[in-house]
Amino acid sequence: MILEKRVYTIFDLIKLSFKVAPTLAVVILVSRLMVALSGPALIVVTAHFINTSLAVVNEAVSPEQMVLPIVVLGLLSFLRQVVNVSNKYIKSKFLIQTRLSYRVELVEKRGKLAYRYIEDPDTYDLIKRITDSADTQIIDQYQNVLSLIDITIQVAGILIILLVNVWLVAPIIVLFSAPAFYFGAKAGKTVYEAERDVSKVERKAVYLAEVSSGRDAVLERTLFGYGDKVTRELWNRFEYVRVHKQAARKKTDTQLAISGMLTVVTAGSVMLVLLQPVATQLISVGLFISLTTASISLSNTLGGWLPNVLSKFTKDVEFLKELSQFAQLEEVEDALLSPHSTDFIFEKLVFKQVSFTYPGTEKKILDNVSFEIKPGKHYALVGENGAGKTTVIKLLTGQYLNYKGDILLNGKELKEYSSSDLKSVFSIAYQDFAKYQLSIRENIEIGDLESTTDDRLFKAISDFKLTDLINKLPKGVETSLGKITEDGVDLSGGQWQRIALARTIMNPAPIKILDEPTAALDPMSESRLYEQFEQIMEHTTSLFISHRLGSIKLADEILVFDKGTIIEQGRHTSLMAQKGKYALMYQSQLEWYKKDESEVKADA
Amino acid sequence: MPKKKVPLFKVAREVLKYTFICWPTATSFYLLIGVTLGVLTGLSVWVMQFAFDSVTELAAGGRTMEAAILPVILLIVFLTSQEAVIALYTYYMNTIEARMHGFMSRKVAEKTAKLEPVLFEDPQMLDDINKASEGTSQAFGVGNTIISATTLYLPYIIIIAIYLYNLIPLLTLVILLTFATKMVALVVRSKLYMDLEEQSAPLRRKRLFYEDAMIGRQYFKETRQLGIFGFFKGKYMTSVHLLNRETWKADARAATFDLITEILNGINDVIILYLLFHSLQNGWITVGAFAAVLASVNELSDMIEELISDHFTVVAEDLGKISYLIKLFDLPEKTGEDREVNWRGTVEFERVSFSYPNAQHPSIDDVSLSIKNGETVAIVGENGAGKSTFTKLLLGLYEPTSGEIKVDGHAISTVSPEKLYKGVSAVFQYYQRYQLTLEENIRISDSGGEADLVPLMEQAGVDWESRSYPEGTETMLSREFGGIDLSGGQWQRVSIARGLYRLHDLIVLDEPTAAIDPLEESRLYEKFAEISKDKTSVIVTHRLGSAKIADKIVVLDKGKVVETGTHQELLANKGQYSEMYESQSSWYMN
Repeated sequence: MILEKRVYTIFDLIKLSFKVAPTLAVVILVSRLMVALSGPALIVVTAHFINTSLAVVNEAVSPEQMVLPIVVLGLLSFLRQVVNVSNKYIKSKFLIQTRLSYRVELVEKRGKLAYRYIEDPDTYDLIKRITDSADTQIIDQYQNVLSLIDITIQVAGILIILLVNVWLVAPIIVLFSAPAFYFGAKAGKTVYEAERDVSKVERKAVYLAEVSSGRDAVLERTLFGYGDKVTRELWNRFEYVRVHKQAARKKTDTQLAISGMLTVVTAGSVMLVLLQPVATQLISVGLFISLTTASISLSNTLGGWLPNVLSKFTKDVEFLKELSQFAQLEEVEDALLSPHSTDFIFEKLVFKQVSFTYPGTEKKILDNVSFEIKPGKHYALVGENGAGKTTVIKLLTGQYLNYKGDILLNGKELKEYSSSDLKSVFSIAYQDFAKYQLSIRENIEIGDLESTTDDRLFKAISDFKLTDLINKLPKGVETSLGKITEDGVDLSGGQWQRIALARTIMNPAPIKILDEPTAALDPMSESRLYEQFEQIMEHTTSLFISHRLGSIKLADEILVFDKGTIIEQGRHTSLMAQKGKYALMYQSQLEWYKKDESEVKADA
Repeated sequence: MPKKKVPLFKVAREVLKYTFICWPTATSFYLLIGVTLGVLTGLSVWVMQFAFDSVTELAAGGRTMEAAILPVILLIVFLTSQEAVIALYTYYMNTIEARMHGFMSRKVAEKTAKLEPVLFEDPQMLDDINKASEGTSQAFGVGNTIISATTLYLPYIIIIAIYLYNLIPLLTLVILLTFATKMVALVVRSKLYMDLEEQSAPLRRKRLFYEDAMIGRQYFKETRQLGIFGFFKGKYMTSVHLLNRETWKADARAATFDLITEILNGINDVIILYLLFHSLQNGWITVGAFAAVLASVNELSDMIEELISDHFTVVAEDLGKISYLIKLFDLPEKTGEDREVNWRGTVEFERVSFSYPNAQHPSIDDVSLSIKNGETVAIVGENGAGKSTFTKLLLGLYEPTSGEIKVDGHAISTVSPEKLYKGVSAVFQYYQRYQLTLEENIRISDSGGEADLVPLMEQAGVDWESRSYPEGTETMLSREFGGIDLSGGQWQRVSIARGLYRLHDLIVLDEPTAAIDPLEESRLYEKFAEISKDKTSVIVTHRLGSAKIADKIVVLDKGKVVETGTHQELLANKGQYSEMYESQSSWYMN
């Protein structure tokens, strides 16, 4: 397991890679170390090469002596390149491993999360940040640490060579390359902070760009003619971000330039100091030259590469903090399992003085709600937006457990059922039902993967009048829906709804819930659909939610919700007789169909 | 967008043009710094040789200490100033890049605002526009490659080439060879990855969807309730395995090719070393030159590598998106005469038909009718009858495929957008939920408007004083930007306020109450009737009952007008309307 419930520390920058792919991580470590160490080696070998060449020119040694330095030098640079190339193979392999392990673990963790996180935007952002970088994050942070080690080895290598030859100058170098590290680290942090500070404005700019050129807003944009205004706003924000980042960059770039120049001057001073030993042949010309060239290229590295590496390092440490947060989010047991296939016999469902408040809010969404659901009856939940109808469904399906009062299913507290038990009790058609990009067959059969049969499938299809549609499609029930395959077909809203309802009755769970799955339909089609549904579901327990009172008045019991409480309850006729809220709502809808005098005449 | 490919030359020219327009002074300065840096880096090889030669002579006892110090100091000064120029160069590069991103986003926004709205209904076109939008952040990369290749790399390479040619002519050839192998590698790589992209795109789409089906917000609760996570995980793993196989195939091939290139380069390196030694031995070059070449060959090879892998490769990848950008800029805009439209006049449809791009059947089929000033017209019909399309034609948002729409006797298809939409407003079926403040959300419909928001919000039922809006009209309606989320019904009210805010003589209300509960709905319809008393209003509705308030009801079916008349007339007709009405009302009557 890569993802564990614990606090991730700085060591995990390295450790996680060893968990994803231990062998590959070792290979990467060894090869990167080899490249790093070859740097100082190159200085020594180059010095030897130059000195030997000079000796050959001065005829102090025979030309054959040159073969070894040339071969070693060639091999060394060849080795560096080969390691670089093989790192590409390894990275590819590593990514493959990541996609098979870490990424899958992330997906599973998300799948198990307590439902409240899904509706909480802050947690959702956190989750999104973690998963967006899932594939590359682990290897990248590892490589970044190795880059830091690499730079350190390069500097240390030069120092040691100097120390061995002219020990005096070594402390000078340490002194003068310190600013490069210091400013490098500081620049990394400043850039990271500047990016973080403006990220909100930047997101807004990107959002405005979407408003001014995306498809969603095209009609309002054209008619209201706000294109120019929004464009100006987005430009202002982009410029704000730029100016802000530029200010930070100006500071860091100046510091880095100065520290870079300081490093070059230091390297230069070392050259000047070395002139004396060279003149007295205390050190060789070859070493002088190779040390000089190495220091020059190193100072470039310190100026350009180091700040990037360090700023990435800062980000990676932030990432680990977020990963710790994510790993510790609460999970739901059994969340990923399929429904328990044991035949659940539904006897009774009781809400006893249930109150509920969404986590992080204060408003009571349900306040002392009590009712009973008995087998084989049809129930309807009505009420204004926000009256608490949908919340009832959320509690029933175990999405939230922090309610007060009792919900008793067959006499047993709902919280005591496992998640997979509840899956086999309720079959739900949601208002925002899922449009799975699967074949029509799969879209319906996923209602009951355990015991599906073709007979039941085609019965569900004909029950919801989908037969004609399917007969028209070239591949029939096997036709893919959506756009992920070339030959996928897109359905209209009404057709999708029928598929979702067919899925609901395919599901053997004893209690069917319809949470306004028909909101996008015209009232006629909705009424027809509810009528069909009631016929199909004749002896099944069902719970309907709808705004359109005409469609639900056949229910055995209507529960009228208002501000989190049930204010009226009973059959249509008795509720009408009560002349309360229900009657008022019904009247107001009825108004539209009431015939006035003239119409009655017209009818006659 | 037209299928035709934009010539590379044109893409390059346009991108360069925009880089200059976006910030002329900084870009000119950037060019200057680039050339300076290129020349400086190139010349450093001479200075290096000079310094090394004097040190060698010093070691051999041929020079005094004082004579050796000066060249070394010169080298230090040279390298230090180079360091400063590099810093300046990077600073300007980053800064111009940031400005260019904003600038191109602005350009795209300005352009798309002027396109015909119907273009957004064509999936192909939409895809192209999206790709163009993605190109905004990459435009600078492409321009910068051309700029840096010519200002920085070219002078540098020329200077080094001259230096090497003067020293050992053969060296120039060897280095040319390095360049050639790297270019070939680039071409092969980009071809390899283009093929991979083509083959793996469907797999990637599948993998993305299966992942989404397991954990995406719109699937989450249903997938969990149905207990089908495992079902999707099986499919997901299959597509991951397939995708991994494809990726590995391409990566392994690319890496193998790189390996061959590196072996060739390694051989090249040995040849260079031998050539150097040989020239030194024969006294053709000095020790200083020998050392300077040794150092500069490595740098040259790094520079070439940088130019190719950092710049050319990126350009090869991004050029596609940039060409969509250029194509977008070339699209025709919606224009017309600067003539006022009197929306108080009669609106006439004369045999109007309309088909969506690539559609087989017309959505509006030979419709003729007229709407008089001050009338309230209800458009009814089943899902897909063409009601929304009709209103888009009426507003002039879409142009008829055939036939003509006249307002006050003049055709509107020839009027410029600025004039055409003055005096009309709408509440669309798919109204926008802008992530802006409440006030901005309403005022966005009329940038010049100054009307008081309070009465409007009251009419539309926006309860801006309630706890739903903690900061009143300043409340940010977006969780992402530190505000709050509204419910569907509240949003719909905001959209109604928005539509009413815009000064209008004619307003279209397309299912304005779909997300509003019944009691509110009735109240709103009464309000509409009151507000639109002396204005023309066109209401699309599913609820036939509410159509009763209309002076005229238009029944659409499959794009055709099947009936028109008042509620009573249509009931008496015993046609489609009366049938629909009876069936709907029977749900309430029995």
